[in-house]
Amino acid sequence: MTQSELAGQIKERFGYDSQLDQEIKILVDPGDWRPVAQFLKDSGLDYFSFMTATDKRETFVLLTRVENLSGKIAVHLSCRLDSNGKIESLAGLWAGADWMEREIFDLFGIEFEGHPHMRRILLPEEYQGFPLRKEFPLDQRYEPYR
Amino acid sequence: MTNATNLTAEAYHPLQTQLEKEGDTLLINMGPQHPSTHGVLRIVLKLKGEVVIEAEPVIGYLHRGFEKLAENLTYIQIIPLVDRMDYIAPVTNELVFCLAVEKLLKVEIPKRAAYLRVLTAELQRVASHLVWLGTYGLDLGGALGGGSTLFLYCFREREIILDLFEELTGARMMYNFNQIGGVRYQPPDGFETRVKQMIKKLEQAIVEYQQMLEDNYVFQVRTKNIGVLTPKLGKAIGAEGPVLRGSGLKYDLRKEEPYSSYEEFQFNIPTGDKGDCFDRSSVRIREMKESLKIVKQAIEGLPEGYISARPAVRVAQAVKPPEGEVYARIESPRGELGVYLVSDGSPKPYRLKWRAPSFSNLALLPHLVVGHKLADIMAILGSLDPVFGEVDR
Amino acid sequence: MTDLIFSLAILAGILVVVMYLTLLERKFASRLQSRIGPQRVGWPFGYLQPVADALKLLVKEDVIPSVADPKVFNLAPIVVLLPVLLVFAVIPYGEDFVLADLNIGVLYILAISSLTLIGIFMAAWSSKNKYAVLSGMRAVNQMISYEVPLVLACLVPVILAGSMNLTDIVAFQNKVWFIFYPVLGQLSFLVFLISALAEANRMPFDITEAESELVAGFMVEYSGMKFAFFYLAEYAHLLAVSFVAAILFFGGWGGPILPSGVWLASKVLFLFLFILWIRWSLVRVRLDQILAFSWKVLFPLSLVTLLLAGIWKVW
Repeated sequence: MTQSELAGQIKERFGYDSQLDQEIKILVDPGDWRPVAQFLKDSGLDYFSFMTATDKRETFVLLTRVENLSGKIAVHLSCRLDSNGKIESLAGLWAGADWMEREIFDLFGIEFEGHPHMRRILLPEEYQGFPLRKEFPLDQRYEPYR
Repeated sequence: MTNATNLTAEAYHPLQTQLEKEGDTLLINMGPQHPSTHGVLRIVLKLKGEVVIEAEPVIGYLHRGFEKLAENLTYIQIIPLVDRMDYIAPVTNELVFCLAVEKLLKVEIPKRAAYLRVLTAELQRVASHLVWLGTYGLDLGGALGGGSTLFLYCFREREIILDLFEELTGARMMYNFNQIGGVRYQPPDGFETRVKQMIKKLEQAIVEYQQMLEDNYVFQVRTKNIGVLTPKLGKAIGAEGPVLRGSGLKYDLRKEEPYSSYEEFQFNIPTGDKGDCFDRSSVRIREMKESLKIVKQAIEGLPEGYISARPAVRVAQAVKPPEGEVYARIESPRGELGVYLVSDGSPKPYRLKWRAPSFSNLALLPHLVVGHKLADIMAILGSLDPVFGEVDR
Repeated sequence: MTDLIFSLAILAGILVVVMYLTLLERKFASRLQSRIGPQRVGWPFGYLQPVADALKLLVKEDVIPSVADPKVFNLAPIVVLLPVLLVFAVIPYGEDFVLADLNIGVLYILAISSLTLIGIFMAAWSSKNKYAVLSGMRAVNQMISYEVPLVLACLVPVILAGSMNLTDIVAFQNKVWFIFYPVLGQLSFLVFLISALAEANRMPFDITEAESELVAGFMVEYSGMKFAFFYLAEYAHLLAVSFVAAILFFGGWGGPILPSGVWLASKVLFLFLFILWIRWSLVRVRLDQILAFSWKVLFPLSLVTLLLAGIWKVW
C-alpha cells in the first residue's frame, strides 16, 4: 500500500489527520497510543526504528518511528503527555520497544504500563532524578545518591 | 515477543558478586571487566551446566550524557563531540549529524564534498570491519593464540587506512572532517596514488583473511548454526546492517535512500541466508570488498569544485536552523545510524536523539543466546559487533 | 652415585631448556605476527627474558584466597609439575644415554603423565572460584576423553617394534622411521599428536584456559611461584610430548652422518615448532565439539590404526 492509502485508513478508523512528508506523521491522544500502534503493526509496519521523548517544558511529546522496509512506508507516531504521564507500553508489539522504553523511563521519568521489567538501563539503579528533563541542571553539582 | 527475565532485582546489584545456586542452575556474572567483552558490558547469566537459560546484558557503564550535553552546545561544537559516540567509525557519526542539520537548513552540498564524504565513509567502513575481524579472532581464539595473530594482521592493515586519514585530516581517530555544508579538508597531492596502492594491498589481504576464516574448519564449527536470527525478530528489534543482511534481507540504506550521491556508485549488497554467526561474518568480509570498489570509484571520479557550500564559520552561533524537526539516517558499519533533531530556531539544538545501531543490536543478545553454551556467548556477541560508545552514549 | 649426579643434571638441564622454550615461543609467535618479540632484556635477542620472568615470579606475593583449602591449594602445583618431570627419566637422549632403561617405558610414560589431571582438578576445586571450578570440570572431561586415543596411538609403535622399551623402539627404527610406514605411520602419528595436544591443554583445545571466557581457568587464583609451576608444567609437558613423538615415530636419535644428539635435538625442535605453529594460527574449539571429536573420530581411527599395525606385523 502507499503512504496516502495508509493515512486514509488511519483517518477512517481513528479519525486522526496526518502530515505526509517523507514519512507519515500522526499525533494521537494517549488513549489511542496502543490501538493505533497495533493497527500499524497489523498493516505490515514491522521494523521498529526508535522511540524517544522530548520535553516541551509543559508536556512531553513521545515519538515512535516504525517502518515497513519493503514497502518503504515510515510512520512517526507521536503523543502528548503531561509531566506525570503514564502510557501503555508497546513492548508486546515490537521487541525493540523494550529497551527504548526503559531508556525513556531512565532519562525522562515517563512510566510505561505493562512493560515486563521497568528498570533503569543507562544510569545506576539507585539514581534519583531524570537527567534529560529541561529542569535538570547541567551546570550545577547534582549528587543525588551518595 | 519480549524476553521477560525472571532474574530478581538483587541479581542486578553490582556488589553482588557471589551469586547463589538455586536447584541445579547457576547464576553467574560476566562482569564489566572481562578480557573479551567488546567494551564495558556486564552479562548476568543463568546457566544449567554449560547451557544458558537466560541472559541479561547490563549496560550504562560508558554513559556520558551526550544528549543532554548536545542541548547546551552549538551545532559547530557538537561535531567533535559526535565523533566520540561510535569511536570505531567516527566519520559516519559526523556524516549523519551534518546530514540532519543540512536537511533542516535546506543546504545543497557541492559534488566534490559529496564524493569526499563517500570516500571517507567507505574507508571508515573497511577500517571498522577490520577492527571487528581482529577482535572476533580474539574472542574465538584467545589473546594468546590464533586469535591474536589475526588481530595483529588486521590492525596492521588498518594502519594503512589510518595513515591515509592522517594525511587527509591530521588525526588518526577523531577526525572532525565533515562540516555543516560540506567537508573541511582538501585531499593533499599524491593522495590518489596512495589510495590506489592501499586498495591493491587490502584487496589481497582481504582475500587471505576470507580464506583464513571461512575455509577454516574450526571457525566454521564455532560459528555455523550459532545465534540464528530470524528476519522477523531482527526487524522487530530494529537491527539492521550486516546483522539483518546476514538473515537474508537485502536492505541497505545506501541503496534504498541514497544520501550524499551514493546513487552514482556501483556496488552490490552481500547477504547471507541462514542468519547464523557465520553468515554475518561472511557478509562483513564481502562488504569490505564492496567498499573498496566504492573507494576506487570515488577517488577516480572525484570532481573539481568547492568542498563546502558555506564559507568558513567565524562565529559559533552562525548556524541557526529554522524551527522544525528532522530525522536523518545513514548506513553505518553497524546498521542504521539515525539522528532525530528538534530545533527551535536557536543556535543550539532543542533535542538531539541519537539512534544508535549497536543499542538495538545488543537488545538481540538475550534472545539469541538462549539454549547455547557458555562458549558461544562470545561468538554471538562478537558477531553483533557492538561498540559501547554508541550503546551507552 | 653417578646415577644421582646424572639425574640431577638431567633435571637441571630440562628445567633450563623449558625456561628457554618460553622465550622461543614468544619469539616465534611474534615473527608469525609480524612483530619482534622480547628484545630488551639481554639485548638484542632477549635471551635474559626467562631469567627476568623467573626472578619476577619469585618475588611476587603469594596470595591464598581465604575461602580456599590451604593444604590442597599448596599441593596442587607440585602434583601438576612432578609427573611431567618424571617422564624425562626414561627418555633415551642418545645411544646408551638414558637414566632408567625401563622395560615398560611406554607404559610408564602414559601412566605417569595422566597424574597431572589430578593436580589440575585439585587446583580448580580448592580455589573455590566459580570460574576455576567450571574450567577444572572441563579439563577433567577433556583429558579423560583423550587418554584413550593417546594410549591406542602409542601402542602402534609398540606393536611394530615388539617391545615397550624405548631404546628398543629406537633401535628398531634404524632402517625406516615409523612415520614413513604407508598410511599406518602417518595416521597413528596424527592421532597421537592431536591427542597429546588435547592432553596438554594446548590450542586449539585450550578451552580450559580460555581467557576470553574464564580468565586463566583453573589457575586463576594462583600467583607467584605456584603460577610459575603451572606454566613450567605446561611447557615441560609439551617438551615431553615432542620427545616421545620423536622417539616413537621419528626414529629417536637415529640418523646418518650427524651425531645422535644433534638428530634428536633437531627432531624435537621441529616438532615443538610445529606445535607452536598450530597454536598461533587456529582459533579455539568448543568443549562439546572437542569431546565429540575425540569419541566419534579419534577413537575409531585409533582402533583402525591398531588393526593395521597388527596386520602389518603378521605379514
